[in-house]
Amino acid sequence: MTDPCDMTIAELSVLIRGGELSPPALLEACLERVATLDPQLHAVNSLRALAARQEARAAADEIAHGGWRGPLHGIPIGIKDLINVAGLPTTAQAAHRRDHLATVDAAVVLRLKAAGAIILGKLATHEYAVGNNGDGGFPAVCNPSDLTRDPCGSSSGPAVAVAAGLCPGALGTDTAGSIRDPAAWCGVAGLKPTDGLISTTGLLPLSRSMDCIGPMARTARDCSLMLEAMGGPRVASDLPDLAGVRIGLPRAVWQDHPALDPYVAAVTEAAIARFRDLGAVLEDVLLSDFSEMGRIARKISWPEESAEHGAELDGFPERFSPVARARLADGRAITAPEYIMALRRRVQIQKEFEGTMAGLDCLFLPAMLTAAQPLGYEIGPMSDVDLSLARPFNLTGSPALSFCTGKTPQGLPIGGQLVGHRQQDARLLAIAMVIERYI
Amino acid sequence: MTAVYDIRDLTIDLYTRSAAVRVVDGVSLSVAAGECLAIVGESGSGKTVMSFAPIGLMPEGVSVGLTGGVQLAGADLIAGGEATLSRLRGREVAVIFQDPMTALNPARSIGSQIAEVCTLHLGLRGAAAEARALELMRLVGISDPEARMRQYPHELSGGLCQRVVIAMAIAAEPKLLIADEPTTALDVTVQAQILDLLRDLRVRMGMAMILITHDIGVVSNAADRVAVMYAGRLAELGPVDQVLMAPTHPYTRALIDAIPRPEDPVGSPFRGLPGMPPQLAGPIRGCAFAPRCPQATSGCATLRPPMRGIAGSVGWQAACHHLTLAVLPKGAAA
Amino acid sequence: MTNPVLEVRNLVTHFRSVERGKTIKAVDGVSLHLNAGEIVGLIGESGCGKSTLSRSIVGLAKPNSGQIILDSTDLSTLKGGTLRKARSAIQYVFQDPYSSLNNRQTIGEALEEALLVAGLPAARRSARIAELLDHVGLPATIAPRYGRELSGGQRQRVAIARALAMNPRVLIADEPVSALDLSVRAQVMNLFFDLSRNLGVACLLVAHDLALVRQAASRNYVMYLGKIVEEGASVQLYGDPRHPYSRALLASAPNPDPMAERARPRVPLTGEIPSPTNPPSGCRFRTRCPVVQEVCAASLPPTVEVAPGHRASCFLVSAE
Repeated sequence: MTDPCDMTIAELSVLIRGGELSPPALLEACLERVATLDPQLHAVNSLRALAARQEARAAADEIAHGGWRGPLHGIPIGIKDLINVAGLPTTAQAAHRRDHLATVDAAVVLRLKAAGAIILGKLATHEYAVGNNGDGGFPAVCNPSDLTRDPCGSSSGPAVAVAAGLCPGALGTDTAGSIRDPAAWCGVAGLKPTDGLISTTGLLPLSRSMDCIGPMARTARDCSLMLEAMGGPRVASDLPDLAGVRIGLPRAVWQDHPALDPYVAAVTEAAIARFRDLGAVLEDVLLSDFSEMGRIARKISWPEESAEHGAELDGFPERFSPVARARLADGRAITAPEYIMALRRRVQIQKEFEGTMAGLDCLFLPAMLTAAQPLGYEIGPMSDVDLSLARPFNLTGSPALSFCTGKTPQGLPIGGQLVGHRQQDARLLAIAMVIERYI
Repeated sequence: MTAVYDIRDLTIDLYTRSAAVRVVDGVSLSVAAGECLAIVGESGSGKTVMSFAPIGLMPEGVSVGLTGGVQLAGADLIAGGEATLSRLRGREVAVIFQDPMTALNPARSIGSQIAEVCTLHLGLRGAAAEARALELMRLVGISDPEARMRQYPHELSGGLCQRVVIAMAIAAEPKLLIADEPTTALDVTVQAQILDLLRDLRVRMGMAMILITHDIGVVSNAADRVAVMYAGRLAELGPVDQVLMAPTHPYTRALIDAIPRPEDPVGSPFRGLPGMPPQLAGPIRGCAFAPRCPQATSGCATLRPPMRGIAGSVGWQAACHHLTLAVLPKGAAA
Repeated sequence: MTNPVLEVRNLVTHFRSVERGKTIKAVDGVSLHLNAGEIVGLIGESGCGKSTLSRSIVGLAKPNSGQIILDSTDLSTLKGGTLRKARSAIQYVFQDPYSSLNNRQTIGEALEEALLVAGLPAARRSARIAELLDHVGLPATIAPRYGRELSGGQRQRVAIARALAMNPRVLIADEPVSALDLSVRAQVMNLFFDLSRNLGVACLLVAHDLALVRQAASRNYVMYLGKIVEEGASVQLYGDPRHPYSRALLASAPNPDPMAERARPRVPLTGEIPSPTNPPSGCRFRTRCPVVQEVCAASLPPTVEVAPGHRASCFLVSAE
């Protein structure tokens, strides 16, 4: 039998339900993998070994007595360290929060527990989700494809943990690409659901109007299983191919971008060719000014970040590393009228985007312009370039999935991004599940 | 353990003709069946309003603004409105106050008052109500109940009156009993008897209890967990042993330090807290205790510290920027 | 040895009961004394007569018999103005600082009124007001403020300042801090230390908080059903209580330390204090006493000096 750590949730759940794999055995495999690999990866901030073992035993009992709750029953899940898990600290990767024990589970964690998932522990992020990898007194998180490379963030821990098989699924958060970017660089699937679909109660807020919690797992199929357990819609998995599926290609966004990595370009084109083979109807589309969308998103999220953390920034500046401090303070340069105008423009852009999407099932574009960069790239020359193509879809509030479309010759994963209609997360995942079967 | 009573992020503003006062500010806590949660705090801490406003017991002429969530035995008290509250009061939640005399009608016999509660909440009439009243009187340890039934409140001692009040409160076997300083008006030797009775009833009936008190000795005797309130906010919440023996919030520490100890030399000065309890007004910006806190730094005045868990015990939490760092090992159990 | 500043000898205060023909024997033959500069505790449950005793001492209740001797003068020999003047040396501090100050008076006016009664010339009053406020640790700037604007602790200090306006030799403080928050109690209690040590005032501290009395008072009287059952220095009384009632009382107070509280031996003290209209014969505690004997019902127990200054009234107590 394959090492359970290298299996998907869908595969594991079949074994667990059939009694061929026990939740305690799976948990022990995960804990052992954490013990072996995490000293190099630094993806795990805290473990919940004792409680998890108890819960795994209870799950085994329940399943043995005919009480299988669903595909997540007995599946270890890691949680990004911005989301509260009762009894574990919510560090937000900040030194001073290393003993900030959460007292209550976040709403989404409660839902996962109710679905029978075993919460494994807390996974690394960036300091307050805005700092650089390795700031805040925590070691830098390393990319399992190449330990000298950055996994991207801020859901770095969840992406690395899933990619390295420390846990089959994890929760990330996405305010400006923080699920999709590390998913792309680590070669896993990550969904930013439609805004508001998943409760953010119990999440350390960054930008309340953009924060989303989403699933990260090996496959889009696993993301769909997690999403349902998190309170999202049920995803039908019976789409045979892409016949009649209309996919928009906003080529202008990436094709002529000076930072575009040629391998990313090639893998993206190869993926598009497969879509055509699978019967998809492809259509080039023009998005209204893509860079304006990013600009407006920043004008909304930055002041919200400053509002959220400004008092702590003023009262206890020593708690923040310089980068996090500067980024959280960025929003102060944006005036209230600018913020208000940005909110209004957001509504217009959402309307325009709906117009663009009319008649389409989804958009496809790369998630990141390059594959994983070396550790420390954030303070090098690459720091000025926004390598992510994710942020505009935080502005539109659309569901957006990042998944692995291929690899560079060095073996570094490359991610593609599928963007759907709001509230049609299930349709988006159904399409992605077809694609991942054939890529 | 499932919570019988659950308060989430409760904020209470009182509006009088001339002012708006935030008396409770973002408090979350819960009480499980059979458990006793003590709420301690000084005047102005909001402990009384927090306990009574959600069940609709407030003085006349004060309008109350409640936000947050309050659930009692699965019913939403804030969304439910007065209809839900009056259905629950007496049946699912009962209250006993400091002075038993005010809760009793001086002009009516003890027996008829208990029987009336049985009629009101249990629909019992005549002999059935009287039989239940007798049973309740035995349950609360009133000796010779047949004779006592015909007595009037003024003929009974304070301790006996409090037993009568308790009998009335538990008539409908409520899921939650809120006891506001139930022994403060009683003598210390009687206090112990009443606390024993309340514990016995709580355990036997699986009733959750909220015990409002200012007396740390009573907390130590009677409660499983304790919530320490200051200026309408929780300062510390946790198991009695942890909070009383190893208080982490500077206010809890000062409060417990202020209790005279047997090892204090006779004639030695009393320990207190500098400054004065806060004057309640609008919401306080930073930490409410900062002006009196020996550990306060400038940030404490501007940023409200969140409630956070303390390693070492499940459910132990405090709200302070300067809690000492106890870094958890990676494999820490939770 | 100097004479005590206040001596109470065999004081008896009875009331007519609401029940026809019955008498409440609230204080039934009590003797005690206070030395200058001394804080003395008076403890016991409600209904034991401690409030009636203090009210009798300050003249708010009329004793049936016995003597109250202030500075070697028996007050029962005085009449009219002389009695009033002598009485003013004994001042009473009430439990509730909210009811003892007039809300329509400023603090300055309340103190001035007391000074007027004390006969201080108008010219010297404002300086004296500042001095009094200083004694109780309040700034002089508080004088123009109204009582309702002050906190409980401040009001209690004003009440004490007003008592001090009469230049008392004796302060009877009936539960002076029980209405105050724990965190401000210390300020008021420490004030009593200042007054006794610096002004030589003798204080009778009537309180139910035993831990507080133990620390504040150098000597104590324990009262039960109108009688003193035990007296002694705090170290003796709280360290080694001899009367079964004192033992029960001290053992009843819950300990704020949960570990100690769980380990605290429970004294099987049942029931409540009997009605003072019909006290038990013999030892008044015998109906609740865990070690009661035949003899206890027959006659009044003797008062035994178990150690110098430490006396208990019980048949089972013997001098060692």
